[in-house]
Amino acid sequence: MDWSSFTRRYAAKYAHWYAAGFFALIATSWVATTIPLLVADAIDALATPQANEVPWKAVWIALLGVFVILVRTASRVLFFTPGRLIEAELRADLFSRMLMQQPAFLRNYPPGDLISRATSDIGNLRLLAGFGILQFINTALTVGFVGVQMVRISPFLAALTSVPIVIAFLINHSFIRTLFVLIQRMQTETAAISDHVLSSYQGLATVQSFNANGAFLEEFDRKNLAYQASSVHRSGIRAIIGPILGLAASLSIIVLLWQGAPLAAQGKFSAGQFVAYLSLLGMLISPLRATSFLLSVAKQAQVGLQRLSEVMTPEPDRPDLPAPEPAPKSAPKLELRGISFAYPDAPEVEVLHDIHVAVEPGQTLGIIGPTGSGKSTLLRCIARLYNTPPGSIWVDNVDLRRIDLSEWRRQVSVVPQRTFLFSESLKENILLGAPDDGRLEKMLALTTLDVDVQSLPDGVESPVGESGIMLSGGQRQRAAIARGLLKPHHVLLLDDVLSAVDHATEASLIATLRQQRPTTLIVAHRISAIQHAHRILVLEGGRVVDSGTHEELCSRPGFYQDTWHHQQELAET
Amino acid sequence: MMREDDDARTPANLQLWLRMAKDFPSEALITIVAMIAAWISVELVVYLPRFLQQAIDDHLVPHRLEGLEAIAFAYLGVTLAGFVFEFAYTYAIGFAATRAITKLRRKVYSHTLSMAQAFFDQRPTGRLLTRATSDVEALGETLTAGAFTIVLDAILVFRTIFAMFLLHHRMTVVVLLVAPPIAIFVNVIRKKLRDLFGEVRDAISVLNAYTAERLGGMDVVQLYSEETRTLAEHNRMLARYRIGNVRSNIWDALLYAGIDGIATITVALLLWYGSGGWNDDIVTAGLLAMFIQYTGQLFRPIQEFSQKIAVLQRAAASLEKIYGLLDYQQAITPGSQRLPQAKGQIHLSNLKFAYQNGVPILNGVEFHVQPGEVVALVGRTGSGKSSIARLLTRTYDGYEGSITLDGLELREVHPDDVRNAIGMVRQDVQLFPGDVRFNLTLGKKISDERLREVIHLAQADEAVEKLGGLDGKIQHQGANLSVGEAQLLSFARVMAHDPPVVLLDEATASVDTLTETRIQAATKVLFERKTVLVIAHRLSTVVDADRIVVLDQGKVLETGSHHELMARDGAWAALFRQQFTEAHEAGSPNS
Repeated sequence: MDWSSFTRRYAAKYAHWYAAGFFALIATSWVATTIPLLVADAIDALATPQANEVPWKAVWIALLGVFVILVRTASRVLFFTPGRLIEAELRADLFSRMLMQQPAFLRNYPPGDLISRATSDIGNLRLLAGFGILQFINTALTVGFVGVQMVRISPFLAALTSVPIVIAFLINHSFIRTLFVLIQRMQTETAAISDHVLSSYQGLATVQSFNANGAFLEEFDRKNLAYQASSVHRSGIRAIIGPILGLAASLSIIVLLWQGAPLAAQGKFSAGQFVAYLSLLGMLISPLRATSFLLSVAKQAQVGLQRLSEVMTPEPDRPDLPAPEPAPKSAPKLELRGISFAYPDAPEVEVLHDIHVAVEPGQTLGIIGPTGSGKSTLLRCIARLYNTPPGSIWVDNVDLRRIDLSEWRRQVSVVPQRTFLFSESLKENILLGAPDDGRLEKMLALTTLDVDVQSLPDGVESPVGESGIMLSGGQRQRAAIARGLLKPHHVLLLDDVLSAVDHATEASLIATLRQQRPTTLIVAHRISAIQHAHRILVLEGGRVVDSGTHEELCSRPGFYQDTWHHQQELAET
Repeated sequence: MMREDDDARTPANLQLWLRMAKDFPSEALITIVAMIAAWISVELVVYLPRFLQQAIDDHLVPHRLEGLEAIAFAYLGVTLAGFVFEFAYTYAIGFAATRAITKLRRKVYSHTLSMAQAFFDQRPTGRLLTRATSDVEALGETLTAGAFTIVLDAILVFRTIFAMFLLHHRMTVVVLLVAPPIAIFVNVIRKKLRDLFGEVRDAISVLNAYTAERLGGMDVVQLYSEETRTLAEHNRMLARYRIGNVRSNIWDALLYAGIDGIATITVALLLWYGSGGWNDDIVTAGLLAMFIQYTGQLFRPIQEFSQKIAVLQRAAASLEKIYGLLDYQQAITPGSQRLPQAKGQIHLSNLKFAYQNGVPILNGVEFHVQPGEVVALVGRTGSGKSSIARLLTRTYDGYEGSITLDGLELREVHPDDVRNAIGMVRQDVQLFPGDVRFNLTLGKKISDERLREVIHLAQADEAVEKLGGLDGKIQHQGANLSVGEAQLLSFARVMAHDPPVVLLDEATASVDTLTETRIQAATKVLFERKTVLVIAHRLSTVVDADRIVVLDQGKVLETGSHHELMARDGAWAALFRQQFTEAHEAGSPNS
């Protein structure tokens, strides 16, 4: 996204707001710079026979004052509102884009990073689109009108008095540039503090139980003090840029006294004009101060736009075809035809290698293998959280990549190994993606959550807290199982989740699955969870080292037989 | 669900600010000195228009040039002095505020780190993070830039009015005529803005929390086809934020422009008075010019008032929340008895415990473990196994009955010593962004050789190698490891720290059986003379234990070795048989 597409997509529709604001601003600036001249005129008239007209001039000035209230309010509202509307629209678009992105993309952009893009980067764009444009026009108009009025009083004095102001503006500008570089550094430093604090709070139990408070505090101090140094530096810069333009205006006044007085002696410069000059100089300060900020805001907005494009431009990695195939309407046949896979962020590490297997409709495939052998990855590929090479996964003899992704997801139910619950009630979490059709109670009983629910303060309506903190690890996992089973599905993927339940529960869950007969893949370490499967794959280092039924695998030496013997031995002790 | 402001008790008043000053005395002192400098600079600023009046009335109007230079030089001198003072006090205030804020942030962080686990159960991590980051930040921003200028503004306004009054009583009265309408105008808008700013703050915090959570759980959102509903919810929250902002913009613009307009009207009033509109009093051009300058000085601070008040409100809210958190004491009782070299003898008698919701979890548990023993805790969910582990590691407090470590009551032992004595491998592995080395040592000095040794013993060589050795980076919450691999590292961590008591809470639940067996073999040697307490769902993993403690509803049902308990044919035997027979039935080949 560049500026022209940003303008087309977001800003152009507010052209009439900006146009109206522009006219309001011209009126504001013109009237505001005219008032000092009218005042000067009135002051000069005091000592003349026209003194009796001064009250009428005063009334006229007061009316202009009322007019300024109206047009200034209008100009600010007309410019700031589009800024806010653009901000909201950008944020909605960013979030809806993220909803389309696949995990491979999101892994590169953790939530904290995306939130900072949604808040500070979009905020910078909003500043530019509202405040920035207003200030830009306002400064141009004010400096223009003030300049015209000053020249009208005396071109010579106008040229002379502008010298200190221009110098101060340049100094101020360079300080503000440094300031913004500093502010960016401080943002990184703040982010580092946040990351550190967040991860130590999340791992607090470990920090405390290993008495590691000291080590974590030490790291915190390093980050905190780095931030302090930058912050003190910032105070120094602020202390200069605050008063420097005011100082310049005062210097201009001295120039005015020094050079204006001889002119006054010649009758070319009146006391009233001197007063008008003072007001006009005063009017320059705030737009000039704002201009330097404006330039920095523009630069920040440029960075913001880049950072937004970085996450909003990449097309979601979902190769949906123009005419996708519909997803199966019943339990499908699932076939892996030589799937190999490496995660996009580590393409050199092949996690799956040339896996072939077919699962008939309604049948179950068990998957077993040592830690890190690629079991979870295989399920993620089938859930299409990651894209696999074309022709590697087939559903009812259709390439999975040709099937409409959203529809496919509606047919598949996945219970991942890492449970994620939202900070809502237990009920809302379990019914995610499923109708509230009265099956909840049955499912609670099946996963033995019914016992746990009794000890929760509000039963099934109890909030589970952030990432389910109010529940134990086992309860969280059983809630995830209940959620996965309640969601209507024809394909079921269970990633080592049955270890969270005791054997009795495991047995009744498996019995239920056999009644429903979805096409099922179960990853497990406990053979009891997969021995009933129609076929079992043994994975090692991403390869199928063996496959067959429970009996076949038990009868030949290898990982499966070893595991089986070992678990049997324990059982028969 | 707790309210957003649950940590805030009293409204932020002067007392809280004074308390902060007391907490950071040297910074408060610097600030006071800076405020004196600020006052001086105000005096200088207030004096400046008098030079202009002299220049106009004594020189410009009568066209007299001599003596004007002196005025110009005096003006220059006062201006430069004013600049120096302004720089000095602005910098000093910024410096003091920054230092105070840095210390305060440390205080919040270290306070939070020392809280008991129950404290965290009630507060989302996100909110606690906000206390140490954006709340402290908001306060710092106000202190360095906003808060004191409001005091200065007040001084400036009153000093200006006073200076005007000394010059000309009646014209000052004319200027003050606009005070009541301004007061009403500002007050009405201030109230509107206060409510709107509050609404916007609320809306943005809800929106950001929601966004962050959904981004974190995006897998789940997508796998459950919840995209449409999630976007709708997000946009509903966003609309609230947007509407609040658009409304507050309108009031803010009106305030800004209103003050501008009223200043002009005041100038018109001065002209009307100066031209003899009241009492035929015709004033000099210089005096009028001076009053116009003063009027400008008077209104500028009022114009910026609304922005400053918003910043100040936010800071006050932050201050309340920060001190609310600092005042909240939920640390575990700090025992004072030192036990630097624990042997690891543990004795529980008549142990009772309930969490904050009051539901009793432990109802008089008794058992003991000697160094060199392996004791397993088994029982159904809710039987109290994990609670015992939490009490032992002192992550929760407030038990009744007794837990002793080497004969000393646990709550009387210094928590550092308890934690050094007891190491735990948790079911929910907690890893930190950083290298593998830090994740194993957690700041303790342990040699690389030793680390490699324990990595090998914990069967984690392959996982560590994949990461790139001891210097390999681990992502936030171990995102670049599988769950099983993370558990292996967690095991290695406890081995590296080598505590006399080891607690294994479902330590290898996601590790395959053969790896698990190898770890068990390694631990048998490594933990030979240690006190080992195992919590397990999978009964098969604990049959080798010296003793098995079967818990039910917070009570010990029976204790003994696997063989003893099988022979007794009680609860353990029933559990054990049930687990395995049903497993066998379930395991019969599908027909």
